[in-house]
Amino acid sequence: MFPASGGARLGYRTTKAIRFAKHGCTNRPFYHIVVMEKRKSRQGHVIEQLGTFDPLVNVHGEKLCSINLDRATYWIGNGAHISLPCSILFGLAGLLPIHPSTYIKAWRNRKAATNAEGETESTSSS
Amino acid sequence: MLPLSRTNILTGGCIGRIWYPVGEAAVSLGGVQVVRWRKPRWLPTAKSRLFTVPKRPVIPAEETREIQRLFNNYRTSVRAVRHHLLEEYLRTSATSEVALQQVAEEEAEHQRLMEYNRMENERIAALREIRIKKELEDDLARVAASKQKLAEQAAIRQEEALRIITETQELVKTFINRENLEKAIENALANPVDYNSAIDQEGYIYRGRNTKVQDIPEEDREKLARASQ
Repeated sequence: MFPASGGARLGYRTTKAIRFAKHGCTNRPFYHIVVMEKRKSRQGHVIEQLGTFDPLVNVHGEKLCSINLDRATYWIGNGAHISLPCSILFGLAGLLPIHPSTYIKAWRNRKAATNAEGETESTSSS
Repeated sequence: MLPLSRTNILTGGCIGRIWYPVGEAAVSLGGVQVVRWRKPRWLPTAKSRLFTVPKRPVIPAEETREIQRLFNNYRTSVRAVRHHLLEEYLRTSATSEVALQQVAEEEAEHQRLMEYNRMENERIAALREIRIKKELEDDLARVAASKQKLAEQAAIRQEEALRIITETQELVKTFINRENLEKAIENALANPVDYNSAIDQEGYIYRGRNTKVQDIPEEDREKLARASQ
């Protein structure tokens, strides 16, 4: 049994991927940011754990995340692929440039917010 | 929607191979909702949605252009970052402190092991010398002992042979030849030897063919020595 924190055999020319491994239980997901061979299953044997991500908001209104920047840069330098959610997270953290989907989500939220404001104004004024 | 899979879904939950297809509906960065039932491909479309036309999402043109521009820039930047990190890794992998430390450690370990090996060899060589010397001494002693034993046995045999020879020589003098024959016969006839004897229950022996018990007085009687004495 390999721990979720790493220790799997390193293949010589296999594709490695930095991605989320979902742990936790029902209605309570929790992600480990993990380096593993791309074709292993999501909860398969992990080469190294680079951090965690908690998608649920805590009491202070924060989504907590941790990243081992040193090791993450090492693995990217070693040619590891990065999954989409991981790229977005790294962009927000500052390791990579900000992902376009962050901007898209932001302006769509803004548009939705202005539309809602406009509607409430129009309903209140009319 | 992620593609369906029949066999390797839910490895964490350990369901095993299931006959009905199960799909995963991914909710962006929030989690995954597992759908227990999905319509098999051989069932025809439901009557209620036979003629529905799915609504195409409309993205305005300038948004599309903006998205394309953003993605192009992003991919360029990410490629640059990757290249840079790769170069850094290649540069520091051979000369980094960790690598050098490892090399130094390995070298030290190797030297230590070689030294240990040398000491062991010396120790064992000394023991071996002692053992060989001892074995040699044992061999020599054994050989000397056996030689001595053989010599002793030879001496004993020699003595025995000599004894037999002298005895026989003595005996030869008593042999009767043609010259001695008549003399021997005359001797024999002149000196008859009487081996007859009688014993009684008290153990007295009366020698002679013609001796009677009454003739010998009691003090002169010869007591036969016991075989056990």
